[in-house]
Amino acid sequence: MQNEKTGILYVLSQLGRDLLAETSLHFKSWEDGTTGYAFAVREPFYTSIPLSSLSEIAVTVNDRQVPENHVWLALREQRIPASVCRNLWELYWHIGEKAEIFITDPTLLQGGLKKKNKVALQMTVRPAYDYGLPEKKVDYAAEAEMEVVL
Amino acid sequence: MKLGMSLYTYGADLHAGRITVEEAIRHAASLGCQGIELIGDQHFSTFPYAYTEALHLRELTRSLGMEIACYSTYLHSMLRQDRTATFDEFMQMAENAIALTAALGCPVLRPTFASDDVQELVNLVTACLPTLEKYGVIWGVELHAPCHPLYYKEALDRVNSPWFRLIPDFSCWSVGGLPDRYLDAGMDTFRALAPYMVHCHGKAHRFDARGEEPNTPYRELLGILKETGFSGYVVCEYEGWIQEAAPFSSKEMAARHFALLQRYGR
Repeated sequence: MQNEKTGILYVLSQLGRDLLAETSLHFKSWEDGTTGYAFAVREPFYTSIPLSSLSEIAVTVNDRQVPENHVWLALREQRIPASVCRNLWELYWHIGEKAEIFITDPTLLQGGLKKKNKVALQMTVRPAYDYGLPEKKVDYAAEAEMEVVL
Repeated sequence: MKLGMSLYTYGADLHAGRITVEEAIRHAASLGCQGIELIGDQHFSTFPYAYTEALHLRELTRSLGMEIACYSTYLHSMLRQDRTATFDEFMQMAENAIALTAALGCPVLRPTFASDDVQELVNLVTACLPTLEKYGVIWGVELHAPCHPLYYKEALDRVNSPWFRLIPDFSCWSVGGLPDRYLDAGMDTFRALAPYMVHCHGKAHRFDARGEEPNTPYRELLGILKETGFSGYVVCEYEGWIQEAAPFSSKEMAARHFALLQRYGR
């Protein structure tokens, strides 16, 4: 049975290939005055998922871990703290739908970015349906060199 | 039997944002499909608040001369991170899905429910029977690898209702993919399940140069359905897209798969 569960985990992890929907870091200013940089991501699971499935969203820029309180998911122009996603079971991120990872890390905003930056994203999905996965989760990870676009 | 297409088949292009659900429906119609299967958690861009979108897709499907043969969804036990769903919450999910199935003009609902104890499924379905009857919707429990082909037979007998039937997925008779606990079951197990079947998933992962699914005995499976007078739908459910990293055309796979169904299902 363990091999079957591991096999399902392998299959479910394959769609992480679509995770990064672009490779630029674009400057973004919100109506409430919040500013930062964003890059587009595509929902990685094979179905739509409630945001409560997002157990963790972790970003590193040039090998620096962005503090979780400066990582946001912007879904349909709603800016949600990464740590809050796991409580939002009523809101769905749909299959194939683009969202944005928005980062507000002051260190990066105040001169910490280069023209080209190594950006790594890890997204842990705890599916709402019980597939019997080991640890009940699927990890998606992607890394790219991203150029800053103002 | 009637032949159709699960929109699951177009998953690679839907996942990558290369086609829309409407395009997938139009393509299924162009192949000559009589009906389609929709999965709420994949094909409604407004899920789970999808009533208006359901009506739109129902009308589009009808305008193309097809019907919605089956509506699928998942009953989520881990929707919340702080606790598992309660029985009442499962009931609410199931009853919402039943009502949406009826709104789609669809006779069959496949609500996937995960439990190691089949009695939990029996309890849930039994509690939903009045709602199923009220809306005229049949709950089809999906039998999928790695389950043994007879896994749900006792539950079907215990509920013993025309509103609770079986959706066999051909993966249970496939010789590829998952390990072979279910491989020795043979075609007799498929034949034994015929009286319970309401809908079938024609699972495929690959096609050879002759258009056959090399690991799945389509000729035998569809032959048994013909012999036993099965009158429901068999829909293509191409699943190779999840693992296929190289770009490919979902439409081409759908066409190959539907040609295979037509070869042995007509």
